[in-house]
Amino acid sequence: MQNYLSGFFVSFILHLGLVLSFANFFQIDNLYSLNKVEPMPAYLVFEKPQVITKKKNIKKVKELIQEEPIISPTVLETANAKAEIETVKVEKDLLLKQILGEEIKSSAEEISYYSNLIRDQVIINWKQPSSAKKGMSAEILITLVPTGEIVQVKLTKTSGNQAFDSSTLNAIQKVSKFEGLDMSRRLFDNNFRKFTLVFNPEN
Amino acid sequence: MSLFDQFLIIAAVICSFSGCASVSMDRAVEAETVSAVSESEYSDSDNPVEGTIYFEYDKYNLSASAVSEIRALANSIKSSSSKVRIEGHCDERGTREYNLALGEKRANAVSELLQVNGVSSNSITTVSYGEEKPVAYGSNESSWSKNRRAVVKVL
Amino acid sequence: MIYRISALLLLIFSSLLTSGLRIEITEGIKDPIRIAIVPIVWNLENPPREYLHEIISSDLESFGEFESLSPKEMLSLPKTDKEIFYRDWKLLDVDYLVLGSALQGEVAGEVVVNFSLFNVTRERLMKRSISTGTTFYLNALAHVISDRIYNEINGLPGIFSTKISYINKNNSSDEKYFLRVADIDGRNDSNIFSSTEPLMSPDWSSDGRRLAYVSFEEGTSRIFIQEIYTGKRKSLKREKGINSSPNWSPSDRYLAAVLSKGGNPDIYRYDLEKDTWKQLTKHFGIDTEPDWSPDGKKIIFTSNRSGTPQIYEITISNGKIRRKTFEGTYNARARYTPDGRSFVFVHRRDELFHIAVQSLRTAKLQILTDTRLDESPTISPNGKVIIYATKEKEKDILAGISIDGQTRFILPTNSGGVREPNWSPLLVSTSN
Repeated sequence: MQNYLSGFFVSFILHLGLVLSFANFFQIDNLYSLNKVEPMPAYLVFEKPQVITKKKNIKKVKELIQEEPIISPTVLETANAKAEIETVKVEKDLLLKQILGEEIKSSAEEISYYSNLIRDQVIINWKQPSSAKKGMSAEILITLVPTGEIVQVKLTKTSGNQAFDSSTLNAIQKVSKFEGLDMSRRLFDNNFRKFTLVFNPEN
Repeated sequence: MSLFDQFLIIAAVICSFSGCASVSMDRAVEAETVSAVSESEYSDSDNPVEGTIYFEYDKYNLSASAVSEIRALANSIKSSSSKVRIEGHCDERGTREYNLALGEKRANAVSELLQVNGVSSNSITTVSYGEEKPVAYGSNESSWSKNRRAVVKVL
Repeated sequence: MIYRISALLLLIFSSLLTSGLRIEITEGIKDPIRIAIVPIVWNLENPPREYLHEIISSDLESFGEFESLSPKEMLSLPKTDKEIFYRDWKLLDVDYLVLGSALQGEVAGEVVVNFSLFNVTRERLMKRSISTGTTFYLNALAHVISDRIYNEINGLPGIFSTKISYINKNNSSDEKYFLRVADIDGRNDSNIFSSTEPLMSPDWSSDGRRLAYVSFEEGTSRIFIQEIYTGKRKSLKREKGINSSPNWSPSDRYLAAVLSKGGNPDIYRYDLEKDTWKQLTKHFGIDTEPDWSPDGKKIIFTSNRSGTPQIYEITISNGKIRRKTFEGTYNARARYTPDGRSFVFVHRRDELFHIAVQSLRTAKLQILTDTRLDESPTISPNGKVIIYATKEKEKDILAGISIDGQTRFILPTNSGGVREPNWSPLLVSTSN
């Protein structure tokens, strides 16, 4: 009886911890939330000079997208799967470190930078349909691999208007691969491997 | 594992994929047809002018000269015991239906003053044409001022 | 036991697993949608009088929303799904592709067109449709196809099968007045009625079968209703003074109109079934230009009760009147947008008359036109385009503008002066 009890207790704490961190109990999401980040001049934020020079203008990015051949997603997936198995044991430690507030400030600003890069690349490819209205909102869950390649697209919230939903999916299809996402592996896994694009026209 | 446990695990797995919608493109094929149009005709005529009163833009009040002119008209109408028709008009600016109403105000203003000067209301008919029957077609004050009028016609 | 509890916990909190980074996209690009309409394969004995793909391309390009590829630019001319190489179309930056073929119908003169619409970006079929028409009216058939393509891509009804009614009058006193109807592309321009006395204010019934208008044929303004397809006409019970500004209710049971029998122009409601008038507004000022709201519960109108013309709205059930415009000294001739949320109207600014649009909820006003003697705005049944009357070099013409103000155009007309346009409702069903 005692074995069962202790076993149950450890398992419970472990699962509870994981579940609560996913449930934002430790406020991790808010730390990385875009809403709280103020835009700041690039030279103040980025320690690595390479990051600044990689801030290309929209047109150049578009040209890049059209020129580069599309890498097959399956090859990258298996490579990543292996890497994932290795890092899964370290993840719990990382979560704890972040809870303690290490490197949070620069990470938040990096997230803002890469989010803007992603946003810009989606905007130039999104032809809003005639029926687009303020208040209409569609949400798409994007799954990427570290190269920026989009490997999975799921419409998680429909706007209720098929033409609108279709235009957002078209936009993502056109992007097919996000350029310039050269962030740390940890940042990628925590924020950009899976994220949601919220299409919410403001006109 | 009991059936309940199996159910719980399956349900848990299914729920982690919850919230995903699929975009369906299936539409039925259909058939339809087309159609056409047709017409008809009509006609009418005019009378001698006794006098024309002019107005300012957007206004239907009578100027001092208009007042004396109407007084003279009233005398002429009473002496000949004739019936008159007052037609109100506007210049092209502004909306047509609003101008129809404005034209009526102008015709009524003249009618009322004629009545004040002794013409019986039974001898007067008023009509508004709004901006529909201009005498000048330019888009300038010279044409516009000629169109802002009330025309008194003898029947 | 462990499995049960952990599974239960996973179950409860699994919905929270989708929380993560959210990036908001609040705008896209306003580039026109690029569409390629491959010339429809013609399998009938006699060659067509005109090319369907040309009419469809021209339709879709009418209001700046689409840009079509000319066949000369196409790298291939696929006839079936299998012949489509998406790369060929992606290279040309094409968003949508249309293929089709025409066959002889069962009856002589009948044409059956099978067409398919493809999403080039996502390499998939969007819609297949069969449309039937006659070889004599290929343009009408092309418009039905354009409507379907437009509807599938934009989620709004297409307006290529609609018509416009208008008044034609040349600038001289001995010319007649004509009430005419034409297809939205300007074709099939037909005469509905003509008179030596003024004709005004045409308004289409909601069923698209009748026109109400004002005629001075009896010496003063009187309202007539004419059936478009039979030519039958009748007049409304004549009242003293002005009888004008007819406007059909959404159900076609009533006509809102203006009568001045009470001493000044007020808004009245005419019941077609009972042949009776009911007074809706009572004010010593000028109340005119009524327009029925799409839900049939309110009427928007022009009134100078505050001193100068402004827009007001009356709720029919309780007679409550509210003023809607507060900017400027001349706001008139309001027309609701099909969604009932805004209205377009004539707004005077710095002595110039423009067409403006205002939201009913936010009261935000936006001037759309930069032409200067604008009047009679009429909106397409899908709410995307406005046609209005204006003057160019002293000539009365019809011009158009998209509701967002981005695309402007002028309607070509064969005859002289044209004015008082009124857009028909949707005439052919495009939903399936």
